[in-house]
Amino acid sequence: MILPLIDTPFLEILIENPFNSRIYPEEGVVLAIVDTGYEGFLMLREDVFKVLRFDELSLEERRLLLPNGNFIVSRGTYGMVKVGDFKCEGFIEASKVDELILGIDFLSNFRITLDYCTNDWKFTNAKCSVV
Amino acid sequence: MGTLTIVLSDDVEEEVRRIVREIYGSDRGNLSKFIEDAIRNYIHSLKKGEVVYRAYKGDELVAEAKSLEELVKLLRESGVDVRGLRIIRSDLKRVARAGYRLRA
Repeated sequence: MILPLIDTPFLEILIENPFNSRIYPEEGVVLAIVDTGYEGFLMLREDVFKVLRFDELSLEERRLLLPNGNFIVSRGTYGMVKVGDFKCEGFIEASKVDELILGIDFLSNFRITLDYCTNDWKFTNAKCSVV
Repeated sequence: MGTLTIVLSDDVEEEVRRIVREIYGSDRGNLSKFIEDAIRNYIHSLKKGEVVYRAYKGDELVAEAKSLEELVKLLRESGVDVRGLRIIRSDLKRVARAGYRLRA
C-alpha cells in the first residue's frame, strides 16, 4: 500500500469511475504522489481521465491557484480511490500533469505519520469505507 | 484514561473485531485504539457537516444522496443514462491551491 519513505511519499492506488465501473489500472495498482500543497482530492493526467471515461459526464470547472499567482482551470467530477483496504470518494480532476497527485481532500480521510528520520511512515485511521 | 463498558450487537462486534485484526493488528490495546479513532472520526464528521451529492440531467435533478455509492445505486435503479450527467457535491471549493506539481 505504501512505499519506503526515501523521497516524495507515494501511495499505491486504484481509481474507479463508479458510474461505469471502469477501474484504472485494470490490473495491479498505480503510484500517486502525496502532495500537501494541493488542496484537492485527486489530480489525474488527461489520458488517465479519458481512459476512465470521466469525460462522458458533464464536468465541473474550477480554478486552481498556482504558486506563481496565476490561475489555471481544471475540470472534473466525482469518483472513487481505493488504497489498501479503504475506498474514498472525492472530486477527481484532470490537468496538465505528468503524475497522479493526491491532495489534502484525500488526506483528510487518514492519519498519516511521516518519519523521515527512519525513512518510515504510518498510514492508519481511515474515515472512508473499508472494502 | 477512562474505562467504558459498552454493549454491541453480535454482528457489529464481529465486524469491529475483524477490522481491528485486519487494519490495526492483533496486539493488546488495538481494540481500544480503534474505538477511540472511530469516535474521534464520528465527532469530527458531525462537526464537519454532511455533504450532499446531486445528479442533474440538464436542469432536472434526477437523484440526491449522502454518498457517491448511494447516488450511483439510485441512478442504476432508476435507469438513468449517466452520459452527460452533472454531479454536484455541496462542499466543492471553486478555487483551490494547486501545489507545485501543476504546470500552467
